[in-house]
Amino acid sequence: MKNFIYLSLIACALTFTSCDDDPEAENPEELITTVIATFSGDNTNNPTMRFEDKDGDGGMEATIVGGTLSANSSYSVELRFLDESTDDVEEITEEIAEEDDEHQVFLAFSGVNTTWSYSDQDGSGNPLGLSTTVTTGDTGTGTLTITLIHEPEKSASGVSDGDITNAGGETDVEVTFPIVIE
Amino acid sequence: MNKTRFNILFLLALCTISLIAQEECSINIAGKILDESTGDALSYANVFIEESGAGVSTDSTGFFLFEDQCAGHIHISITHIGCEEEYIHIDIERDTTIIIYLDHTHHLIEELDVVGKYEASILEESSEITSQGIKDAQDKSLGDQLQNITGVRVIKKGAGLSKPLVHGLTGNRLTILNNGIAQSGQQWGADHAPEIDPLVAQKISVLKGTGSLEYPGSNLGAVLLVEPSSIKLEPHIHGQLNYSFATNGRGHTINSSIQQHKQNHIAWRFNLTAKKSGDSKTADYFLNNTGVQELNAALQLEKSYGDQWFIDIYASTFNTEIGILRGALIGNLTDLGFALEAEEPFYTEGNFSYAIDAPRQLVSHHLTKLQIRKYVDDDTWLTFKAAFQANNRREFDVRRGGRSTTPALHLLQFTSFTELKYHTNFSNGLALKAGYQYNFIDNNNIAGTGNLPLIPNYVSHEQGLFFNLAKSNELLEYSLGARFDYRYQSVATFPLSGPTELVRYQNKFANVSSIAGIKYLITKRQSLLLNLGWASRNPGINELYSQGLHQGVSGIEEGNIDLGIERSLKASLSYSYDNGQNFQFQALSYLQYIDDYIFLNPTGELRLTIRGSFPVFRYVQTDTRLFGLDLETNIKLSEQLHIEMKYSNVIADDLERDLALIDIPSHNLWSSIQYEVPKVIKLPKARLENLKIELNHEYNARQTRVLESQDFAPTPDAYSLIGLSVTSNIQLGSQRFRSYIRMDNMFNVSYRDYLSRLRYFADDLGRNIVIGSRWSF
Repeated sequence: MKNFIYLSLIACALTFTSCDDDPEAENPEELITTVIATFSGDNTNNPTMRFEDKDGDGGMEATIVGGTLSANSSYSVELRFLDESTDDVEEITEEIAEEDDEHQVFLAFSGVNTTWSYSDQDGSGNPLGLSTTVTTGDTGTGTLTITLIHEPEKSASGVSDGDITNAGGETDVEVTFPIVIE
Repeated sequence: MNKTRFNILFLLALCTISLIAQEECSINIAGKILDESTGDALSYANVFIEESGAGVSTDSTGFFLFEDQCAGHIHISITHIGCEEEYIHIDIERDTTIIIYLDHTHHLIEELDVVGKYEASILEESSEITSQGIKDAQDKSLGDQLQNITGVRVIKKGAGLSKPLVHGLTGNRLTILNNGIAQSGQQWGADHAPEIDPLVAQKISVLKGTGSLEYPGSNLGAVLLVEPSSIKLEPHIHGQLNYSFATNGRGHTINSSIQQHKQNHIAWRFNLTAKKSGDSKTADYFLNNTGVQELNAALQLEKSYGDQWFIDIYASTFNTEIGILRGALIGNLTDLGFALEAEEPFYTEGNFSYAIDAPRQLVSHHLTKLQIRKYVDDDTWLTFKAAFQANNRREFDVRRGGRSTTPALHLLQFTSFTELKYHTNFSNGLALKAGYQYNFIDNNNIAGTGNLPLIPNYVSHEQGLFFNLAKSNELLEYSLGARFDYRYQSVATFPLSGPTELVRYQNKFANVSSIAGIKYLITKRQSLLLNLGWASRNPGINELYSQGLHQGVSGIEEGNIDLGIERSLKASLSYSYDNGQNFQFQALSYLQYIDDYIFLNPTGELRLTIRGSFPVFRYVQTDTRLFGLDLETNIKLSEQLHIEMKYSNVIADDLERDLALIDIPSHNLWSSIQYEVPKVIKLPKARLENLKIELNHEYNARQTRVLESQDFAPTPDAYSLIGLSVTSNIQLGSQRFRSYIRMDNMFNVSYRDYLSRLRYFADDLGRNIVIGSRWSF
């Protein structure tokens, strides 16, 4: 089929005409439009935070919904990554879970006294980060940044403890949520 | 009218003095070797008869003598320090005297015409790399070879990805002619190297002045010519086999060419190149995934019918796979920040590998060309040219879900070019050249990448008319030319805002360009050349329509459909002095104003995406000024000891914003000292001719004109590199070889170059030793 396309294009060029001018609409298969972080636990506030940019880069602005967490509490956090650019919503989380050794999620809190740790692993026993445990401290306001790295160097210093500095790789997702601890 | 019209490199004049026929093996062959341009005798030229294995050197009067040679066909090779090796083939029946002219005079810059020796000359500052220079550096890509020319630097992104930058201009502001045909590919990309095998060329030259108006496309900047020579009349099959190995990257290069030109038969030449190299190395670590593979072939056919018709056919294919440093692929500005901090690039491994994984490029370029020339008389001829090019570019990124083997960018471009050109010499010494051209480009995104196209599909029709007049008398030479272009472009693209609806644009551009040149011979030894050029360039397709994230530059690039034409006024003045013996000097200065110069400007806006925030860059126009200086000198301290120095600098400013332009090199100084052994060194079974040892030093100053706010990182420090090379022609029995050893970055210095896109991530190349040998048969 491809050879046929090439040949017909050559024929067009030789006759100085363009046979088929139009590019085909591509479906960006790797697009992630939505990040959902579900906080659960035996707490007063159990928020679901959501970052959504359904038309991809540019165009409409993204919507960001942060949340309120309870002070001095423990949460288990589940992350989901979706492609909602078309009506046929795609669950990218599955693709990440399948290639767990090529992905890692990093959390970073700023402005608030909160710690976190991994509660899942990839096939090689290194952290993945689709599930994490978050322990909040005293009240305050700040931000939570969630970063999904493709092809990190998981064995590099500090990376398996959740330090992104030496991870390398490409950032597939980096979203920041406003949070309040009360 | 005769054949030599086509044999430009056949720089021989033979005159034979016949005596009475003699016995078979008692023939004397005597001769003189003279400098083609000065007529001076060349001493210590080595003359060798392949059939008998006899070799002699010329004396101080350029005279040589072979005694007791047998009758028949003989092949003679002539080598001389500083000359290309020359071969001739003659039939010997009796005592014979030959006078051989060698192209010995070293021209730093010469004015030359674009297509052939007999075309009206365009007065133009030009520098060239000879066949021997190209083949002794066969491990290098075209871009890296060009870097030997003063005023030429390269923008690079690792091995195999280097783009020439001449007098501060690059990309589609330059015209690259492959065998007389303007190279048509995806020149807009900063990491898209010219898809040309330099080893098919007998000469690579750069017209640095105000450009030539003979070609479609931009006439703003320099013209780079890659030219195979015409095939020498010689009834036997001859050729060369050249192999070299480079330690850095453990690269193998093999190149072979064979040719034959029997009287009244089709002359043919076939050229084949294969290259393979793996991870290159800095002074301290391997650069993972920087291997290159290449397989190229070219076929050249020439035939004349009588004295009037000359037909030329050329077909070439260039195929390469290039790995890009894995650690240079980043997702966002945070990643870039980490990469800038890191000592070594991410993914650096301790061991060497030939493997090429994503990110990588897979590029093919095919060219076929037909040229027919009809001579009306000795002074008037018509040339018809038709060429077809296909360029297939696939770029692979590291992607999720096994998509790394699916190209993230796949562009297929076809170009058809036809030209009709008329040339005539009037009786008063005036030469006229005029022509009409039609160039058709069809650019297509091949579906299935799973990415929105970075540049649109388009079709472009371009028609051009040009003329050039040249006249010369004893002291003065003039040339004057003008060109008119009309381009119609039909574009279909998906805008970023709504990737489901197709938007169409119809663009029409009309451009007028003109040049004028004047050369004044002050004395026999000194000349002045002044060129003035007024030219324009249409906005490139990427400048108008590109959209989306460029991972290499960590920014969102936005095209601008409101861009207009760039207009340039350039003046260049060169002075050259040659005392005819031991001192040559050349200076070239230029001043160029480009109004509405198109460049990628940071808008200051940070756009929030799901991958973090990115700075937004947008193509805008400004007024710029570039001025610079190229200096070259050649000093002969003695017959054996030579000094050569080259210096270049460009100063380029954005006049509206009062800022320096980015991606402009700083001062560059190259000096070399060469020791040559003119006498033949005789070993038990071999003779070493023209042994030459060269020690060179390259200095690149830090670019201090760019502000820190104009870049992601401070500009790299100045650096100095030392290189060493030894070359020699070797006679081993009746076989002839040329061998070379070259050491680049001898002291394994760690450095980063301002024009390298990898400088944010990794050091530049460490020590490299290249060893190679070429067998002529």
